[in-house]
Amino acid sequence: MKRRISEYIFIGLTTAATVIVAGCLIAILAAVAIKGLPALKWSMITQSPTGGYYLGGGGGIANAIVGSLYLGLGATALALVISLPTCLYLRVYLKKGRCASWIRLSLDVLWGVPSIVFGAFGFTIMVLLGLRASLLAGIITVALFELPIMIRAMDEVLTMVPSELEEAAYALGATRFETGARVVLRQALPGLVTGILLAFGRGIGDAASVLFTAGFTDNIPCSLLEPAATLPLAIFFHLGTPFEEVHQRAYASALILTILVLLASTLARVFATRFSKHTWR
Amino acid sequence: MKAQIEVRNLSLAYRGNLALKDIGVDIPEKQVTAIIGPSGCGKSSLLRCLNRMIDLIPGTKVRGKVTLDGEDIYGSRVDVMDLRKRVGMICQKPVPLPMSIYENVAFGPRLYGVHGKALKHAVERSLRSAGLWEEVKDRLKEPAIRLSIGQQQRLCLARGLAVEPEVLLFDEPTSSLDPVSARHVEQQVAELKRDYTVVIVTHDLHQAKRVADHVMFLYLGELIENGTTTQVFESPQDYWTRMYVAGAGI
Repeated sequence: MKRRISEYIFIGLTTAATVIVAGCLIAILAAVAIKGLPALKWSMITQSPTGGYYLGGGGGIANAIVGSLYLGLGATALALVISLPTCLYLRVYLKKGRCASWIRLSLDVLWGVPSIVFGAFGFTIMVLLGLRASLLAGIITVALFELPIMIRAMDEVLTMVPSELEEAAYALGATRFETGARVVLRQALPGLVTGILLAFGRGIGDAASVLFTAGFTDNIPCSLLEPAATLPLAIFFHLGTPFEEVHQRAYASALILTILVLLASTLARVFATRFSKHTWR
Repeated sequence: MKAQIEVRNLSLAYRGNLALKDIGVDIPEKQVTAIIGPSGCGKSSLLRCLNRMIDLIPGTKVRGKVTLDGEDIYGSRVDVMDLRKRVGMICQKPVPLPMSIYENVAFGPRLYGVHGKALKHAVERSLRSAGLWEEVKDRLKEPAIRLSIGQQQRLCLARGLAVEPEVLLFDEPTSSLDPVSARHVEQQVAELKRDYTVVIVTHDLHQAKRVADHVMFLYLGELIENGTTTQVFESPQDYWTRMYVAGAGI
């Protein structure tokens, strides 16, 4: 009887926890959709702010949508260029040695550093390089912020690649590079895409790291050295006004940001599924 | 009979523990040599010493000499990648690479710059040699993991053959297969000796009797007896060999 009661308690607790998590997600999406949909107009997506937009005037947030996409894609691409070789080095060359453990530990510490600290660090680099608040400075800072997330997520996936696969390639005379690039990465591809996506989602949605570095502007940036508006900061500025109508636009902006991340996620999943038909499960 | 591989005073230590002790043996060219012995006696370790796959296991130390066509494979000037191309290996568990059937077999030749028509021919030739061509010729673009386990093992064989090795090492190639698939792979092994020197590690004494021309019996890391299959199975000289081939637990 006692064992049966403990079993019921266990099922109850785990179910409740799962329902809370799923409920939170649904509640967030519902709140953003319910409050944001009425304010979401075509002009909001296609136009940049005109005079008095943040006081309830006309225009839209095309500048922030394009700015966020430039920044998110640029930073993710830059982070990927550094993450992929780092992950391969950890997986194929260092494996599980002491050095690899230290690198993983430092990446975990970096992952835990608040994004505002990355923002302050990015600002210092900007000053050193003589850069103004610009898209480039934003991309570099967000890439630094995304790096530990991307590397650790990818590293976890690469660690799960069976060592027999590597052996099969080595047995044919493949070098470590050939084995890593052509076999290990291919096997891990669906998981790697998830890692990239996780970093992209964090990068595009972060406000603190771009506050000092990318700046904010009503224009769509035409070069890397111009400041760029971003959706998280646009939401922040919308909510900072005392006008209810503008507040609603904040929710509409949040909805756009959520849709962008969901869209990227779906595209990545489709891409990953196409490649995962070859992988071991 | 010409020995293609000569093993002299070969010892292998794994983190200080001796796994192979002073092994000396000649492996004849274009014959099947079986390595038999109880679990943990060092059969697979010896096999992995022959193409330096043992280097991939951290903490291993090899002493002694192994020559392939007279050249010391542990010499400082040896290109290990080239050695592994010359001495192919098929493992216990079939491991298809995460790509299509065609790409699996083409993987090796591509590493050595084979492309176009030559690559297509290499893939077809290898799949035919492994006895798999008829079963897969219409589904070459399908993922290799969709093949049955027996077909996967023959695919691994085809992949190994595609790089045109001189020696083939089999590490218990039928232990994870059903009896029908196992017999299929075994037939291929027996046929391969026309063109290749074959070394096979097996737990199955009947299999060793069926496919091997020569047999090496290993026990606790030592080479106890070595001779033709008839000698080792019908008139073993050593007490432990007699016990083992008679099926008495040792």
